Amino acid sequence: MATPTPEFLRFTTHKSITQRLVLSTLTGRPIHISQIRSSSPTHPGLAPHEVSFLRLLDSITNGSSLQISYTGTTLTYIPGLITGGVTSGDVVKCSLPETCRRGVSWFLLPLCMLAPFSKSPVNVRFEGDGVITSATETGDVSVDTVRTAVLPLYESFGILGAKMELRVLQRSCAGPGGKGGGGIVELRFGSQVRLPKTLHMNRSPGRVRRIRGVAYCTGVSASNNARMIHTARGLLNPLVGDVHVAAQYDQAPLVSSGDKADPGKKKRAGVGFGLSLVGESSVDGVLYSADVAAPSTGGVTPEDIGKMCALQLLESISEGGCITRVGAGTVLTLMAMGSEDVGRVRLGRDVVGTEDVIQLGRDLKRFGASSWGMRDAEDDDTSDIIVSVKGIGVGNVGRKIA
Amino acid sequence: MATNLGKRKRHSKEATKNEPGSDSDGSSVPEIDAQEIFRRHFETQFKPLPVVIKVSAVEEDVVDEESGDDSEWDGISEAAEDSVEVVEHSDAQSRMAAMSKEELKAFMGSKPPKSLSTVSLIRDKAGATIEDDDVSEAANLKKDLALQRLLSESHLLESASNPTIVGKNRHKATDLRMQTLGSKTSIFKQEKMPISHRKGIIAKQSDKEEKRRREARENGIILEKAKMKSRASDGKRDRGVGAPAVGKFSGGTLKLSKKDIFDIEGPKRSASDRDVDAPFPFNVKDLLVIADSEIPTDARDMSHYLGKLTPHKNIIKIRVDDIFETPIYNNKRLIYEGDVSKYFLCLGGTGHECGEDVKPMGWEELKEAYKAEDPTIKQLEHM
Repeated sequence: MATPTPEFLRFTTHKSITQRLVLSTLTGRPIHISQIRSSSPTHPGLAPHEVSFLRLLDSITNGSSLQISYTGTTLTYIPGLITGGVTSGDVVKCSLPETCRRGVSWFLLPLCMLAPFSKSPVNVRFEGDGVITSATETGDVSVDTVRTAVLPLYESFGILGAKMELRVLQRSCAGPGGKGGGGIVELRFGSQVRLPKTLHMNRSPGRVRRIRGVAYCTGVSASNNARMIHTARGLLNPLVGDVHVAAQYDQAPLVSSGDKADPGKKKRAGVGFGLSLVGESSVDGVLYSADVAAPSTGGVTPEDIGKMCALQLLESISEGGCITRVGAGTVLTLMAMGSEDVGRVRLGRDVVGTEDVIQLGRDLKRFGASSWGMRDAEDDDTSDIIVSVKGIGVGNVGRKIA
Repeated sequence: MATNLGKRKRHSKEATKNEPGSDSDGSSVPEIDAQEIFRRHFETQFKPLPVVIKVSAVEEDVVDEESGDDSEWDGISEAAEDSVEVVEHSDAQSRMAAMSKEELKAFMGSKPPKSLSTVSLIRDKAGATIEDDDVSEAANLKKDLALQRLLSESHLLESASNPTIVGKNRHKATDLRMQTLGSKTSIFKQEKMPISHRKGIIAKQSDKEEKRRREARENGIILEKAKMKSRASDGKRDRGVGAPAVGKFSGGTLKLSKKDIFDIEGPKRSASDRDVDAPFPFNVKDLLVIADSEIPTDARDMSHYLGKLTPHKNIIKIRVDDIFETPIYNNKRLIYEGDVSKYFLCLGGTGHECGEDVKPMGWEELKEAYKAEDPTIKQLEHM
């Protein structure tokens, strides 16, 4: 790096760790995170998924350095250039361990934020015994929601959707105890920009005019799809006429059984079902999403899942704004990293009030971005808030040099 | 919970109806309706109605539970106050509306779906879509074609059994299109069948046609002209483009039958045959040389010579000049006497240039031939 003694930004705890690592990588500021689960008597330090994410960061960047303390409670990260990490072969392989409890979208969302600023296309394949493609109880959305509700948001930043691909080669729900899966997901992000445009979504979010979705069953009877869809449609159809949900049935993935005597033995893992719904508004680029999957302990009927998902979608719509909780982090980060220009985005009051968004605003300020301006939307009687974000013009460092 | 409330309301209502005696206010008489009067009247004459007794027994239980609460509606019960009332907004829509194929493909593919995409689609038969508001030339052509096809094939849709363009009708439509494109035969024509069947079919067809014509004739109806029998049956088959015109080509060899060879070579002729078979039909002596002055003004009037020159009947005399249109002999004309259809012979003349095929001594031979009283065949050939 340019400065011989880099000044570390100091953070504590594991909360929004991906967000901080992404901001550090984008702005080039080294960070130091301490007290990572230091109070936990049984599992102190970094969790398996966090270690996997650090490995992924290391593999798609060049020149970054990581130091993790012996107990794993302290982390030092000096970022490098985002190169996309293709030295040999086609894709960067990221293997997630069996103990991973987070869905693959936990990795995908921050990775997609980094990808537009990469020097070369980012092609990453997630595989291994810990890839959960469905929504999880830990609060992660499914890959379908990432593809249908988050990736389209990149279009408004001038990042072409035609060059993005999120291939789900093998679906998997959370395994027993919410751990592990066995899915395979491939992200191909071929759309790199010098500097993303900012966003102006301060108008009314419009009205939801159609609802799309994916119902997925992995290793359980495909009739569950029809039952989930039926219940969700029963709730949504009186409100919107155009409701279509695609049904996707897959076999459960084969993972190694973990039997010491017979290491070649395989078992089926990641059985379950779930539903992902996306509501499209009459205004371009406004998407509301909901995502519910059956818990790994089982015991819920597909009707319940369908109903919960439909209600969650309605709740997400009722929160208002142009961007939902799922997409808010992505949009606000890209606006902050984009051109030195004030962009405005209209968010629901409940969306702005979430811990994640507030934490993001604070973190951005620490990384050198300017503060957000907030005011109430006055053109109608909703309680939405218009957030004005000024970009810091970081853009694509790799492209600037090359 | 809502259902529970409704049930209780009805029961209490019926209880007041059926058991007026238990009411405290004594205003039961006007509440008895007509049906009640009929029932009582019936029961006084016959035995009590079993159904009513059963109902009243059930209702007594309810009334006991409610401890004589006989008001019409007593609001939400106490049990409802500490539990959440659940209202389900679900309707019985059993139809699974599937996405169209292209929409499903676009939505379920690996790329992020386009947020605002398709409008109304017209689908042509090939499955390609035509956008309704597309004004380009290609789209117009497509629509035009669709309209033309609809017009020309709409009669297929009239059949009651299959009023769509699928199944048998689709094949019929294909056949129609093939024939408009120039197909010689219908795709429904059966190529192979036992000869007896085919004979039978043809016989039946001709029978029918013959009968129709006969009846029309008897009734004085004028029909269209009978179609000529096709010449395809003359043994000349369609050999296709580029195929050899004779023989039979099979296995890379062109096989010629004896007949083909005979057709190519033509009838054999030998000199001896000619002497026997093809003598000159006339004698040179029969030819008369006449001077120009003797020719009448009307050269075609041959009747002038008829009586004078002809020893035989049925002889037509023609001035050779009239045929060849050039004077062959300077002042003289040759008259050929014989069958017109057979041979003409040039018998000489000055200024006659020798032919190209005359050999070195050819000219002398030619002169010999001319001078000869009775030229031989060989000499005649030279001439």
